[in-house]
Amino acid sequence: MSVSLIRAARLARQHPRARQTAAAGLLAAACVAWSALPIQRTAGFFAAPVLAVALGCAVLGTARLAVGAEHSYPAGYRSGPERAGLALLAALRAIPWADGMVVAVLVLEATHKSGAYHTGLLAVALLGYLFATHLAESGARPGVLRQQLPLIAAGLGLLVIATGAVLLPVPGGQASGWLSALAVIAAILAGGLALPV
Amino acid sequence: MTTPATERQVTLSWSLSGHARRLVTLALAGLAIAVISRRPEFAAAAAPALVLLATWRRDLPGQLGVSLRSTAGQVFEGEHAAVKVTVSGADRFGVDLLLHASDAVGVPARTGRGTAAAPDSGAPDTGAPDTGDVRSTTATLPFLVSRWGRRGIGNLEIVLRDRWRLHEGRVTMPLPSIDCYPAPAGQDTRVVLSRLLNWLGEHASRAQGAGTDFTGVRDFAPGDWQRRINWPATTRRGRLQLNMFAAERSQNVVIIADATSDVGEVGATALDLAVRGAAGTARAYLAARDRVGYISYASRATWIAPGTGTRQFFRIMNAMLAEPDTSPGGTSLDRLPRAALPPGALIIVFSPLLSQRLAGALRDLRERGLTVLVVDVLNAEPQGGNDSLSGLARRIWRMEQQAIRFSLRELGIPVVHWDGIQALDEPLALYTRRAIVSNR
Repeated sequence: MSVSLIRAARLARQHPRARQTAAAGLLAAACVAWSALPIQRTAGFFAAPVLAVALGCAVLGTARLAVGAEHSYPAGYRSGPERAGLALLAALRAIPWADGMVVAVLVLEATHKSGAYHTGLLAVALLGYLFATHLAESGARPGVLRQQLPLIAAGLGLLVIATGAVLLPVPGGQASGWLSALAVIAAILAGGLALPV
Repeated sequence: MTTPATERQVTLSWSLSGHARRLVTLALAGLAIAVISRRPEFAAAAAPALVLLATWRRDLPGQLGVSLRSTAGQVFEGEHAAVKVTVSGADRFGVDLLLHASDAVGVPARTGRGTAAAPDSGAPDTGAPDTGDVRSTTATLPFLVSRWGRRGIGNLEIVLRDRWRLHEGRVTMPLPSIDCYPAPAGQDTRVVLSRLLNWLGEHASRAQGAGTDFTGVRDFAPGDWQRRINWPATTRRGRLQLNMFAAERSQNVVIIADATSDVGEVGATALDLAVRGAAGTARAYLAARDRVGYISYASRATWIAPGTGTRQFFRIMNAMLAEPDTSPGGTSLDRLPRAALPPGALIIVFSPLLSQRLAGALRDLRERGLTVLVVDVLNAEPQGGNDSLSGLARRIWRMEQQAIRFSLRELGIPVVHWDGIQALDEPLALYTRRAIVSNR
């Protein structure tokens, strides 16, 4: 067990792209699992297909990162199965699976009632997934994100403040949900625009 | 030897990066779900993406200065070379250079891309970028040409990314072509004619001269070199005896590469083997100070008159790179001038012997008294089914091939087979041990 772990760690060091792809895949799985929890009966029939879509997008998005973006195949005659395989690869590269997974995971999260902290943690995981996907896609080292760290910290700070504000008790009423949502959006936009970039 | 740098201005096409698009998706989806489901925590989930998108910039450069320089203008098969790319006008941006290699050009693993960070953006990503001045970025992209010919290296894709990695500027430009010479086959021994030219060379001839090969002793005559006296023989015979040596002479060698047919697996076709064998033979004979000429036999024959030296070797290599006309048929060698086929020359032919016209031309050469040696480079058979008719057709084809080779041997033209893997010394061993008797 330890030998295989050491071997896996050595392989990961030799192939940073594989490591980044594995990280993106793990984060995608974590996002889908977190958004699916807690599984409630009240979620209704809508949750199951969305979960399937999210899982499919997560798997295909990871596969897309694994096959890479380069597509320089030597010209020449190809058999039918080869042509079909290349067409499938092209489709795998063309469709934005990560975007689909983000939307599906948020919709899945919205299908059941959970605490604001649950959605906040999901947002953090989704952000990590997007950065891992970008690093795996561009082949860049994590060091390139060093300059963005203050901005990421600011964004996460806004997320925490907004989540905290959501947790505050508000007087009930027909329009209170709308108002609190719009208030949070306005506060985030104001905070984002006020940042000295 | 590096090629001169070519500088040009290229226009970038900017677009939203995949990362920015995904952030927009997260932000819009979060805000929409927050409004639709009246749950403000989804708006909070969109906050980090919105903050990152707030760094949107508009001052993106439209043009880029790119300078390309290849470390070599000519390479041999399997030899490494590199393209040195200098990008100027991309300060404040991270630059990724991707080499999309064309057919027969390979890129070593993990070096198909060179990455250079913007001067103000910390350490570079990967590779070994060599940042010249503050406003230009230089990277070296190695490549390897695996098959001979005049080949385009491929395309260079330049990707510029801003500090926040929200925009991507891309441009693709063709790289210069490179001449790839065939890898010369290994050959250390040489076929030597019995009658050599009266030119100074390295082959021991029958004539007496001032070489190094001992041929016998004779009586001393006035005027002979005293240092050549053989004292043991003088003591035995009681008279002054003098050592005799063979004169060292050169020969004319004409190499014929048959380009009328190109059959076999890519990279090991009959034409590939013919040019590699011809290159190895030319190198071996030129190293022995022989005069080597070259004839490319196709629907028309192109030729280079025999000459000596390194310059002649590269002249022959350049002649091989000329696009071979592999259309069936062939020309007559009778029309070639005397300079191309000098009398008394040793003619070494690399051919799959699939052209009846070439076989006829070789018979004519032999009948004219020239010494001809054929290296058979056929390593393929016609493809077909496994039915009896296909088997019969293949058998007839093999018998025809054997008949062609037999008829040449009957005329005194040795035919040896070379598989393209072993050194040429092995198939030619029978003819390199002693001089081949030439008629003139």
